[in-house]
Amino acid sequence: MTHPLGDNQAREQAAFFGQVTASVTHEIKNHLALINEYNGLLADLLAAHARGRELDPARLAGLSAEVRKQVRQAGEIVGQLNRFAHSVDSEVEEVDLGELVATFAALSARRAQRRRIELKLALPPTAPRLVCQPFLLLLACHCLLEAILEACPEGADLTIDLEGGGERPRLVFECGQAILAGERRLPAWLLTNLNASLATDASRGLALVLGSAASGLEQT
Amino acid sequence: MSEPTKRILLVDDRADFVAIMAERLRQRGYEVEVATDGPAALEATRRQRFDGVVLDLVMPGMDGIETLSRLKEQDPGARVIVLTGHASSQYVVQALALGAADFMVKPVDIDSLLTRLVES
Repeated sequence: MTHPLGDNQAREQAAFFGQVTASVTHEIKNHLALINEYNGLLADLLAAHARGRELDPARLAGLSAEVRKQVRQAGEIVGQLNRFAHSVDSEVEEVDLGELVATFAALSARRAQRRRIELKLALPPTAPRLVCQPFLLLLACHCLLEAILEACPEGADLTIDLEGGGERPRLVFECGQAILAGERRLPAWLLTNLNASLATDASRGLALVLGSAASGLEQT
Repeated sequence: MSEPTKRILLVDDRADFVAIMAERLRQRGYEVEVATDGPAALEATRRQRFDGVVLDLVMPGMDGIETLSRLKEQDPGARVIVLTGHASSQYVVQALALGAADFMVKPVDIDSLLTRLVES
């Protein structure tokens, strides 16, 4: 039986979901590994104390603070993954674009970091809201980020600017150079469903120009 | 005559992780060097031989697989345990094919790691 979206669209969306989940669960594992080591060190210090070595309260306090920090960081990324999971709850809804872009950046940070690229955000004081399909918008950001990571050298600067408001806010992926692969990476069906268009700027990078969601989904 | 102190190289891009693991290993009597990327790991292994190398598979820049491949070229007898987030990872299969002695899934038990790395 053919998927109602068409096989290509369903596959692309599933692949995106898998990539994000794999990356974030890897990050969570790293936090758990560190908590494990801090706990192990506490056990080592207690064992040494049982053999007559003095315990250093300042050291213990420091380890406790580090564990708290790891738990907080892991909690933050789990929260972002939860927001991502819920982005498919409604087909179309009004979203705060600042929050959505922040979620995207948090979920993508490690992938960019593997190319030694730090993903920065430039958000307006009041972010525009847009009626859209949030999961598809996240997918579009993912496709553009893939194009940029492919084209930019390691260690490049990358900022996502959220610009404008009203009818057509823009997400500018600013990396200081032209990105020719943007159009190839962003499928036409995705732009159609987002009522969006792609603009390239040789000096800045790529801009996704957004519009209010089209009703329903277009099939291939 | 006592046995010479065993030397371990820890390779992981998370500096906080290698620092704590290194401290725990030193407390157990090992000499430990740390490297937070592939090139630093290869430089360390060029300078001296280690009794065991603990290598994270996922690192920015030169990843664990490439680091392992080059390390094995330098020293085919190097004993390397790779650390991974997931046992089913494709990287584990690649690492074992490249000559890694074993793999462990994070978070690891340090004494189990030592058993596999330098004490077996």
